Amino acid sequence: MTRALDAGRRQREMPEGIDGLLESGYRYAFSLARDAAEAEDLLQDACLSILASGGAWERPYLFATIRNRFIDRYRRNRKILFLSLDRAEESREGELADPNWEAPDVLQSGLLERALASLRAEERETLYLAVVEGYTAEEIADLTSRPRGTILSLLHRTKAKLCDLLGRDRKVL
Amino acid sequence: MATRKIDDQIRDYYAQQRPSPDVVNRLKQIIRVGAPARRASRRSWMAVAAGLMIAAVTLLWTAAHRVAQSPQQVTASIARQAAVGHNEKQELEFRVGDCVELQAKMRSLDFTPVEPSMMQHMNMRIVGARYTTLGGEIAAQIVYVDANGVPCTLYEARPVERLARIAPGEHQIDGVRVSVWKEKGLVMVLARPI
Repeated sequence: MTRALDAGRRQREMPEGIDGLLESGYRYAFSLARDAAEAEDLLQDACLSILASGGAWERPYLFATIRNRFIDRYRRNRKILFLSLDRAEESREGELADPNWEAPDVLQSGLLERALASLRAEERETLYLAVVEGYTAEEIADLTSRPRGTILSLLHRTKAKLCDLLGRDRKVL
Repeated sequence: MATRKIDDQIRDYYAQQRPSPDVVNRLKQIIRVGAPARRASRRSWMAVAAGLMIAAVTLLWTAAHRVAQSPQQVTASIARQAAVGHNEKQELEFRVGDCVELQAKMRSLDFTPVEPSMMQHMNMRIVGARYTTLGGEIAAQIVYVDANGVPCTLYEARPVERLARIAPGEHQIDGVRVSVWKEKGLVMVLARPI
């Protein structure tokens, strides 16, 4: 009886802000997978996982679940997506005078999409979390289990790389 | 030339990325219904999910779709997913001895899993299966072994949405040969070692 009541209550309740949460989850998955269908599959897998575990319908938990699913799915075949950060340091980019520089309309021209596609998954992920979701370096560090300093340098290098890909004349300090 | 801050352009780019309405509605219905707490109840939950998926696909068939991909792009994406799934070798949910037993056990699909004629000719023996998704559709992931015990992975799904646009053919991805074709009203994707 109690179980039936619980089930009925569960049917009536929809987590608050679920539309925005699903959209954010999809965009985060898209930033990792860079493919609409794969992003939808990741989001669906994450939702199934949360339902099965009874986890919270909250952004950090959803993002962490999506991230785990992404790693599970691509670990064997896409190691290249998660290169060692030490190795990434070797291809150090020049420094940016302004990390939020004025750029021509690279969105409409399609240049931005192509440039984002050239980034590694971890770079797109960090960029998305920082710029779109407004996560702090500490929050990104928590989500990705990396030191805060690593996130800061990764974000800086990613911006510099993006700038380079977009063909802007970078100002090297 | 007009310029804008790069961060604003990145935000606008991601604001344009949205899940398809049918996916959002399907997930919301699944969340509304709720899910069993234990994995043991997964099958009953999958039945609900499969039913909801059919309803959502039917009701939202005319809703906006994402940018259409060419058959070659769709097929390449599906083939890659199959190769990844084959290499992952995830745990099976059902251990079965033949296809009849599989049909009896795997009841939460929106189709009946069948044995493609190719498997009989190749002298393959069915081992087991699990539920999965292929191209966003619910699918059966069925594992066969050949006479030497080498496993291969067969995916079966209904030819709807993106899967309706697949182009039959063969692909080689990450050491896996992936064959894609349609048979008995289903999309078949077979992944096996090269």
